[in-house]
Amino acid sequence: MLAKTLSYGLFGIDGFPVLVEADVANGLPACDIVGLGDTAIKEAKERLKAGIKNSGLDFPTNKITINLAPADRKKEGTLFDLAMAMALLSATGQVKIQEQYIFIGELSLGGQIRAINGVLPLLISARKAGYKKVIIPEKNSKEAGFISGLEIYAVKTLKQVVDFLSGNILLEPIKNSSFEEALKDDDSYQNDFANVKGQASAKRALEIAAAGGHNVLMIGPPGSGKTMLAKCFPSILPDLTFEEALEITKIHSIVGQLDINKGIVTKRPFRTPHHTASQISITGGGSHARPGEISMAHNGVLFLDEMPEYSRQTLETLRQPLEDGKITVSRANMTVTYPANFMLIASMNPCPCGHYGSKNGECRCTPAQIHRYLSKLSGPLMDRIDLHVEVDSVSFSDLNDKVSEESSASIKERVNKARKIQLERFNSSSHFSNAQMNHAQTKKYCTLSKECEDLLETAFNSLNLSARAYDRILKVARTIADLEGELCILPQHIAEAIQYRSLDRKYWV
Amino acid sequence: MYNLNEKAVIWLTLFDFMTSKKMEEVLSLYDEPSELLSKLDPEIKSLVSAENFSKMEEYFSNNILNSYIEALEKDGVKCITIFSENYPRRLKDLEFPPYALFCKGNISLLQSRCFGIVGTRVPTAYGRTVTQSFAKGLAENGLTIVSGLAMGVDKIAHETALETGGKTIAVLGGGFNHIYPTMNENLAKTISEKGLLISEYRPSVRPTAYNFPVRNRIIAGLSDGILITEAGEKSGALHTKEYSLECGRDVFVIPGNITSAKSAGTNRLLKSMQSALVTSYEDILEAYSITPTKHKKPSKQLGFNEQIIMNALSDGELSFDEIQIKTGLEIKILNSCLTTLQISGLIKKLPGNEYMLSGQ
Repeated sequence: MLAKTLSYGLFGIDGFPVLVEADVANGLPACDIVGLGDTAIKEAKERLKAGIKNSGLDFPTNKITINLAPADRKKEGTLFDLAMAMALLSATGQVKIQEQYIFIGELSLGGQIRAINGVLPLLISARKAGYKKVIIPEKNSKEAGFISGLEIYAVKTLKQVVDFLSGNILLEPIKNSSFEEALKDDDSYQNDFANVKGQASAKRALEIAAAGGHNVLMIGPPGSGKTMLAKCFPSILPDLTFEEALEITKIHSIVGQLDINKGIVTKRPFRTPHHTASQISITGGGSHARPGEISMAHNGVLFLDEMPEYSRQTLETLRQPLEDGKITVSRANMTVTYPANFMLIASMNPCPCGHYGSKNGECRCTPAQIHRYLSKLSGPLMDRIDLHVEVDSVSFSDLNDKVSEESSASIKERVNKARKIQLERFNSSSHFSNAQMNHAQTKKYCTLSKECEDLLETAFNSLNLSARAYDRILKVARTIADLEGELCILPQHIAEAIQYRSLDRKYWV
Repeated sequence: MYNLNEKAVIWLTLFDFMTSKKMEEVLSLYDEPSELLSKLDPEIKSLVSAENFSKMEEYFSNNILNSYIEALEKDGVKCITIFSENYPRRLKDLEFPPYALFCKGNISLLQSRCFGIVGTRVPTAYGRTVTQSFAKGLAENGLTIVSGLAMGVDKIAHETALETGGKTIAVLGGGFNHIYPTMNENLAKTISEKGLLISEYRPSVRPTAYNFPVRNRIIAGLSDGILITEAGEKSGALHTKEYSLECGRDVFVIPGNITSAKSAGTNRLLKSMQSALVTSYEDILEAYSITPTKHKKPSKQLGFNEQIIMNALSDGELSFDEIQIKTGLEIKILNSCLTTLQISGLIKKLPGNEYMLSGQ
C-alpha cells in the first residue's frame, strides 16, 4: 500500500514543501528512509517503531520504504517524524486522512510529539503557498499563534492525531495571540539610563543613535562606563513593529533560541559576541549555513566591546552587511541569504593602556603603539560609523550625586517620536531610519540653507575634518532635527553633529 | 657643479665610518682637500682601520665618484660641503661641524634666520598646544623653524610651520631614503617641497640610534636659539640643549606642571638656570629684537551662551560634563556652541573630551 502526507522543510529562513511517501510492500521486514535526509532523519525509523508501538498502534512487519520528495534536495532535522508516522499509518490503513494537512513535529519513543525549531518560518512559508491546515506540536503553539490565516492544530501525542483525523475527538484550532499583549507583558529592562550617573554627552549621542539608527563608537578609558551605557541602550530603542518582531522571531526560531513560552521576540535583540568569536560565528556559516551573530542582531543591536581586540578579518566582514542589511552565506551545498540589519555599537580604549587623554592615569604608550591600535579599525569600517563619542571617566562625586537622572522611558518617548517622522518620510517597507539613507536620499532629504553650508565649510577647514565625515554629518544632523521636530536642518543641528566626529579630527595623535 | 674640494668631501661621504671628526683628520693630511682625489695618502691607514683603508683603495681605483654624483642629482639631492660658498657659517661654531650636508628642497633656507623647536616624542595635550602656539607665532614672524622630524613635538613644530605658511627645516638622523619614523614619510615629502630636508648622511644610510643625538648638534648649530617645549627627565631634547650651550646659542624653555613627569626635564633646566623661561612667543621675538606682527583679534561678537562657556573655561581645562554642570546649558545647545567656538578658534578640544581656551 502507498500513502502520502505533506510536511515542510527548512532552508535558510524559509520553508519548502516536502512530500512524504510511505510504501508498505511484501518482503523481509525492513525500514528504509530515502530522499537525502541527514543523520537525524535516518535515525527516525527507530523513533517511528517505538513511537507507533507505544501509542497502541501497529508497526508493520513488512518491507517499508519512506521517501522524502523532492528527493534531490537535502533535508535536515527531526520535524518530518510526524509526517512519516502518519504516512506509514495511512499506508497500513490504521488512519484515513481525508483532508490535506501539513504535519510538523518530532516523535518521542513514548509517542509524544516534541517541539521543534523554526515553526514560525515554516508556517509563514506554508501560508504563502496557500495551504490551510497544519498540525504542530503543542509546545510550539504560542509561537504559531502569531500567524493568522491558517487553521493550526496543536497536538501532544501521536494517538491524539490519529483520533482527531479519524473523527474520534474534536480539536479546536489554536487562538491567535495578540502582539500588543506580548509587548505589554514584557516592558521591563534590567538596565536603565536612570542608573547611569553623569555621561551627559554619551547619553545624548546614544539618544541620537537610537532615533536615527546610527552606528556608534564609544571611546574612553577603562572603567568609564562604556559597557554600562551600551547595556542600557536597548531600553531606549524604538518599539518593535509586528513585522520587525516576526523577522527577528524567524531567525531566533531557526537557531532554537526562541523562548517557547513567549512565542515571539518582543524586545530588540542585543547581541554581545566576545572578541574571540570566530568569523563564522559572527557572519553565519558552517556546513548547514546557520545564521551568525549579525543575523541574530537583526533589527537590534550588535555590541562589540573592545573593538580593536577583534581580529581584523572579523571586523572587515562586517562591512558589507553594514551597508546592505543582509548577508549571503555560501557553502558547498547551499547558499542562503539572511537578513542582518543591525545597529553597531562599539567601544574601545583610546590607546593600548587605555589612559590616553585621561585625567586619572598617565598614558605610557608610544605614539607608534597608539597609531597601530587605532589603525586596527580600517577606514572603510570607520566610514560606516556615524557617531564617535568620547566617554569621560566619572569622578567619585558624580557617582555619589543624589541628582536623579532621566529615565530610559522618557528618552524612549523622544526616540519614538523621531522614528515616526522618519517612517513617514521614507514610507517604505525596507527603509526605517536616517542611517539607511543612500547618497541620493541624503541629497534629497538633507538640504542645507546657505548659513548651514557656510558653517560646514568653515568647520571642514578649521577643524581638519576628513572628507568621509561629510555625509555622516548630514545624516546625523537630519536625525537631530527630527528629534527637535524641525522640518529643516538648522545651523545648530550641523554644529552638534560635528561634535560626534572626534576620530576624524587630527588632534588624535 | 661641484668644485674639486667639494668632490673630495662628497667622495668621503661614501664611507660609513667617516664621521666629521675623521674627515677633518684625513683632510688635514693634504694641503688642499682636492688632492685626495688624485692620491690616497698611505697615512690614512693609521687613522682608519686596515680593513676600511682597503675599502677606500678599492673605491678609489674604481672611480665611482661621478656615477655617485649623478645618482644624487637624479634624486634631486644637492650636497653642500664645508668648502661650499653657501655652507651656513653658523655651523662652523660647532666643535665638529658636518663636512657635508645633503639637501632636498629650498637650499636658500639655510641662510635664513633659523630657530629650533625640540621636545619629547610623546607630548601631553599641554605640550601639543604650547608647541603649536609657539611654532605658529615664530613662523608667522619670519623665523625658519628647525627640528628633527621625530614624532611628537618635532612633528607638530614642522606641521604648524607649514600650516601657517612659514618656513621649516628638518634635520634627519639618517639618509633621505630611510625616513624614520616611517609615519612621517608624507610630512618629509611635504617639507622637501615647501621647506628643506637636510642630512649629514648620504641617502642610502639607515638611521641608527647613535645618529640621532649627533644630528641634534646640527639643529643647535643652525639655529640662533632653541626652544624646548616639553621634555621628560631623559629626553633627547636635552642633548640639543648641550650642543646649543656649547656653541653659544640661546636656550628657551617653557615651564610645565611640576607634577607632570613629561615636564621634569624642562623644569630641571629652569631650576639650574641654564636657560631662559618663556611664556609666549613674543618673549623669544623680543630677545632677537623682532617686532611681532599684529594679529587681528577676532572681532566677532560672542553669543550669550558662548560667553558663559568662555567664562567657565577661563579657570583651566574642563571636561564636557564639567562644563555642562558649570554652565547649566542644555546638552544640545552646549554641543553646538562648543563647535562654533572651536571653529572660531577660541577654544580647543583635547583628547578625552576635554576643552580649553586656545589662548588667542
